[in-house]
Formats: sequence, structure tokens, C-alpha cells
Amino acid sequence: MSAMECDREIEIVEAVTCGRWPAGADEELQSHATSCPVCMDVVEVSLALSQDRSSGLLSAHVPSAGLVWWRAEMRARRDAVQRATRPMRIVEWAALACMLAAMGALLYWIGPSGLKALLWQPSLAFFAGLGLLILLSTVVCYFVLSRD
Amino acid sequence: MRELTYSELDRLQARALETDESLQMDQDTFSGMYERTARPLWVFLWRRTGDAQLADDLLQETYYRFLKMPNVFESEAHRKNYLYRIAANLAHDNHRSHVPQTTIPDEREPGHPATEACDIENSERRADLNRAMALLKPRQRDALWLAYAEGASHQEIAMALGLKTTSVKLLLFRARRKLANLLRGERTLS
Repeated sequence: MSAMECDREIEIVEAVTCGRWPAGADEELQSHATSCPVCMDVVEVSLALSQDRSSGLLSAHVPSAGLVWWRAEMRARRDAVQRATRPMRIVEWAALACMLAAMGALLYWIGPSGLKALLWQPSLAFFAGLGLLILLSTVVCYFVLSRD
Repeated sequence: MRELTYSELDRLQARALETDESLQMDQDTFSGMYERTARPLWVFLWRRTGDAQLADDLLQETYYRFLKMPNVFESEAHRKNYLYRIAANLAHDNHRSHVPQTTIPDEREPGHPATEACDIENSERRADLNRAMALLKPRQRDALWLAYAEGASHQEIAMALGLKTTSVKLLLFRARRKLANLLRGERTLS
């Protein structure tokens, strides 16, 4: 026997958790528990915790197994769908990022003075290109945002 | 483009639904295991979090994660230890990410599972235990609960808490000493 544990600890815990303490427990074990400092603590703690567990068990309201199974199945399916469609979502977000980058690059390339000139002297090619870019951006945004 | 995208999505969804890759056991086996383990596990989670609603959520999450694990369990005890390991980790993560709630609600308040089934003596005893347990570290509470409420061996506690058996001995010794002293102190005061 060391100061940290006692060989008879297991017997005491078993008696307490099975509801055989103190009535129903061996007298010799009971007298040991009153003299061994480790077992005194074990009795104190295991009585308190096992009584708490018993009253908790009596009044615990857990959901039915069927409900927990059904929720787990739904969640597993949702996770599987998310995993399967992840590459598509990455591509969609990449397309959106490319589109925004292209718009930014176009605006940067034209510059404020070029933009002013184009507004004063409208060019059909410019507005057709801009329109196409806006249309494509809208389509990409629709796919990305409608999925999320 | 739209038609192609949706048909592709449907195909992927169908494949995902076909492969019930996820759940490691059939429903009947699960039901049997659930009936044996759910209530004690819920009480453990409730005692650990102090919140019945949160214990419900963590119970669901525990079984979900358990069902997603590959079926490598050697025995019923092995399964049970893994369940407690998942539950303890979830409770630990929750404790770190939220404001810790270490006080169990008073039995007269709604939210305490033993509200209807207790007498005054039980109520006082539990209040003492609640106060004393609140002064312990989460790992100490887990170890004590598994050892003295569930009757788990040192090896089982080590497996459930992800510790070495030698560390469990020391952890239990310190926690037990502290809790016993606190309980005796509470009794003396009352």
C-alpha cells in the first residue's frame, strides 16, 4: 500500500457503486475504511458522486435512439454533399475572384482620364465589353451566392 | 450552363447519399448501444457543463462523432471509453470557447434534472457537492466522475481522457483528496 492508493479501494468503489455501502458491505472492509486515510477519502467521494449519478439517471431525459440516429444520418448526408460539392464551390469562388480582378484591371488600365474621354466620346466596343463583363459577373455572382 | 451545373450537383448529391460511408454501425446495433450508454453519458455531460440543453446538444454531437469513426472497437468497454473520450473532449472544447459554467442550477429551479425527485437531505447534499466540484479543475472532475460514479478503472480513465495511467493515479489522488476535504468542510459548516 502506498500513500496514494490502497489495494482495497476497488472493493469499496464496487460496493458503493452497486449500492452495497455501508449496509451489505463486509464488516472487515468497513473497519478498514475507517482506519485507512485513502479509503476514507474514497468512501466520501464515491458515496457523494454515485448518489449524484443515481439521482441524475432517474430524472435524465435523453432523446430517443431513433431521433439521435435520424439526426446523425441527416448530418452525415449533409456533410457528404458538402464534401462532394466543395471543388465546384471553389471553382465558382475562383471565377468570381477572377471576374472582380478583371474589372479592377480594366478600370486601372483605362484610368480616370481615359474613362472621362470614353464618357465624352462613347465607343460601342467599350460599352459592349463592359456590358459583357457585367453580365458575366452577375451570372457568376448568382451561382456563387445562390448555392451558399 | 445552369442546367449542366444543377445536373452535376444532383449527380454528386446522389453519389453522396448512396455511399453511407459515414455511419459505422446499423441502426439496431446503435439503438442497443444507445440504450445502455445514453443516460449515464448525459448525466456526465450535464454534470460537466451544468446546462441541460447544452448536455443534449453535446450528447447528439458525441454520438455523431462516434458513428463517424472507423469501426475499430475491440469490445463494448472499448466503445464506451471512446464515447466518454469524445464527450470529455467536446465538453473541454466548449469550456474553453464559452464562459465556463461550473455551477449546476439549484434543484428547485427549472433546468435541474433532479427537480422532481429529491428530498431536502438529498438536495443539501447535492448542493454541497456542486459547490465542491466547482472548485476542481475540469480534468479532475472528469477523472473523479469516471472513477467513482462510473466505476471505471485507471486504464479506462486514461483511455477516456487521453492520459497515461500513471498520470491518472496522481490526478485521482489529488482530486480525491481535495474533494473529500471540501465535502467534509461543507458538512462541518452546515
